[in-house]
Amino acid sequence: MPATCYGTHTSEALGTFATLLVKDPTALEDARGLLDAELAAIDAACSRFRPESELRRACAAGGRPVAVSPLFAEALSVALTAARLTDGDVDPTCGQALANLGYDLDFGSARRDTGVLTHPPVPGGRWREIELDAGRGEVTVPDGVLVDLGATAKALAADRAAAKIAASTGCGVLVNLGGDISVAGGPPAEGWLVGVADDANFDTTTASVAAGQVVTIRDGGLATSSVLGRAWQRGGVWLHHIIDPRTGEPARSCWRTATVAAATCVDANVASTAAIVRGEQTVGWLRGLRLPARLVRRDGSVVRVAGWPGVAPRGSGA
Amino acid sequence: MRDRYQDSPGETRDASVRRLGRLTWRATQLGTLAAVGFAVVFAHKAPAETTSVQNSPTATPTASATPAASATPSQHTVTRAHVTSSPTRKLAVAQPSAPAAQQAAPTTVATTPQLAPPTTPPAPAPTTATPAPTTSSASHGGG
Repeated sequence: MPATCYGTHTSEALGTFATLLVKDPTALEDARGLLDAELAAIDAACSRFRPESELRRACAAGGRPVAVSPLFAEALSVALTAARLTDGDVDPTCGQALANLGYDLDFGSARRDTGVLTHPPVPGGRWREIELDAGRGEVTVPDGVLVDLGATAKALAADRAAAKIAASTGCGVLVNLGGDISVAGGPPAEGWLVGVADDANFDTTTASVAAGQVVTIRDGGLATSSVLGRAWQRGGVWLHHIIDPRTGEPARSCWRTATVAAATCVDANVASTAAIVRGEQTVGWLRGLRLPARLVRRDGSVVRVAGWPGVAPRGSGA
Repeated sequence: MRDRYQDSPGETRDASVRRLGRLTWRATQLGTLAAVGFAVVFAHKAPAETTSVQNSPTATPTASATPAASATPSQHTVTRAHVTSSPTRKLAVAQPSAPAAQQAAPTTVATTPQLAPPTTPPAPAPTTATPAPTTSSASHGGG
């Protein structure tokens, strides 16, 4: 598959990388504009680190209703649905848990501070108390709850951007936001070629990632969650960003990385995040949902679920 | 003194038959009255209950997962940790800003929403392919 026929662009956004592939290189400029606008809007609405974001305003309102934009309402709605579909394993009310673990600024800052933690873990579970009045455009976050949409907002941005770009330019597109991939429009004849990795030693452009496997996808989304990527050290203990809502601490999972394919990037992201939290139960859960997944155990062994392809034998053609 | 049980067997039998007849008649009267009473009560209650069902939140044309929400007269969908998308939805197509009426899906109310698989599952890449132009992996940053 000649990669050079794509229009490609990689930049930094949402504290990670954003890679854009368009089937028609002449559509790249328009596609970049649409992607940048979508990312800026999501960041302004959903960032836990921007004091002026809608998320921060809603969390600082002391339990009173706050007017929000349709975009923030949609992002929160998606996060609450994710919590409901995973029985709370993907919980948007784990923001304070992350903050108490030292992830209270952007990730670069969190990684630089290696001091001992001073605050106790804060379990989640309060997502049931959040009220969303979509008609009025109002959100009520319980006093003391810090919402974190990191698990789903990035995937939502990928889905929204890909859909907008495909609709506007009429060509096939792939959007990759820090490993959360969404495709829309007509794919290349061979499908979109995507590497899947659980390598922790890479920069933010994926240029140096050693893929454990390469697959092709034609629709929907693909997402990877891992305890390796966003990990930091406090008081001599390694921590990561996937929180077990029941304890408020990093999930102690048998999996170090989970990659899931689904109908949308959001669904894939929700499933891959929940897969880490659920541990051994994940295999049966994903199989029941018919979600193709590649799970990597702590020792590096790989489990393929629900039709995730094996590695093609050497010398096989298209 | 003659023992009453020493009356003639015929008189005793007749008296018993009369008592039994009276008891049977009274039981029949009571049963009829009870049946009429039930019928009257049912006739009054049934229409009220039917009305109640028609007014119940689940019968309103909304797809809200929160019965109280869809009962709001203003058509606003107030949700408490619930979203207003159709239960058969894909997460990414949740449309909380759309009017509740537009999300009506009465036949899907009882359906359990799920994370949906892709239309086409991932396939192995041909080994003759060029290196993948992008990768799904654990990411730094974000939040």
